[in-house]
Amino acid sequence: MLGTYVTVRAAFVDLGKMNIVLALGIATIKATLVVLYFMHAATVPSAPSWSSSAPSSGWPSCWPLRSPITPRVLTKPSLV
Amino acid sequence: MHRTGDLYGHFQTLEQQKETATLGMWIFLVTEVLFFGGLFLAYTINRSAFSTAFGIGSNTLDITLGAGNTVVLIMSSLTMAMAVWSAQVGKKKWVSIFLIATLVLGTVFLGVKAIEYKQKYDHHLIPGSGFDMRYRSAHPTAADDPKEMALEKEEVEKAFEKDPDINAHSQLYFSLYFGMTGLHALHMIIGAGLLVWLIKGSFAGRFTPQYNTPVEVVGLYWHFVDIVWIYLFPLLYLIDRHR
Repeated sequence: MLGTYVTVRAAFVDLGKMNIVLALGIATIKATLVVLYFMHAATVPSAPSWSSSAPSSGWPSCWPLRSPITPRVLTKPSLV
Repeated sequence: MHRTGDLYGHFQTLEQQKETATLGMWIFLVTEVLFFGGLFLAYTINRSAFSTAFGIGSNTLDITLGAGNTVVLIMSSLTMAMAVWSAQVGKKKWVSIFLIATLVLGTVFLGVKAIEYKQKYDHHLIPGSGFDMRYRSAHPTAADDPKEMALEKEEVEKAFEKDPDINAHSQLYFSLYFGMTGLHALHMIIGAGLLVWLIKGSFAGRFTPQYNTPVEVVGLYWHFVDIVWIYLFPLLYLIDRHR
């Protein structure tokens, strides 16, 4: 919510081309927080540390890798 | 399909079943990223080509309603996360309460979106033959502030001087606005349907610390829809606000 407030306030300040960069930067921070805490990507130790930041920076192919359970599912003996 | 209690026949344990379902949802979300990614790309290309039209189109949106809806959706993500947590720790009553809170907040979001769409209809800003960027400033209502209207009229006229074909180019902005927010709203409606299904299950006491996969999987979907809006809001509502 603080991020939303800052985004709106910053939109009224003339920063040239940096306006869009700042708005999307704050959006990415908000999205990363949602992924890490609400979607629990931060709370499972087996999750690869780099995978949680990749999706919100726009690399869709990394999304499955950020799933906290991916390593465990892929190493299940019954699935091999 | 063979099923013992909550465990389907092709799984060995509830944990394996849960992890498989969760991974399946993450993979589905990847396809959703690709789906919305195409729209975001179309938006980026057109915004770069017709920046004046996109700026003037964006300034017709109600920033208070957009920001308010962002807060509502983030709150709904919080209540959804709380519902998942309540299911995991066995607080059955709280699962229902948080799921209902999520549904209510989701419904508020959709209600506000409907109000915004109605405003655009009233202001002749629906792409098509009746589209007119000058309509609103030429037909102020009693509720409009005359100073603000005069300023808006001046801004529209300046935009027409800069880009004489602004009516056509603004329609591109509004086509993307309705396309992207409409698809997002469709995802919200589907999510609301899933929440009703979960609420029904929670009233029946179906979700326990051992079995809460549906709550967790729908939760992932709901958070994803929240993330899409987090990007839609600045891209659609906050263009050229400083001018």
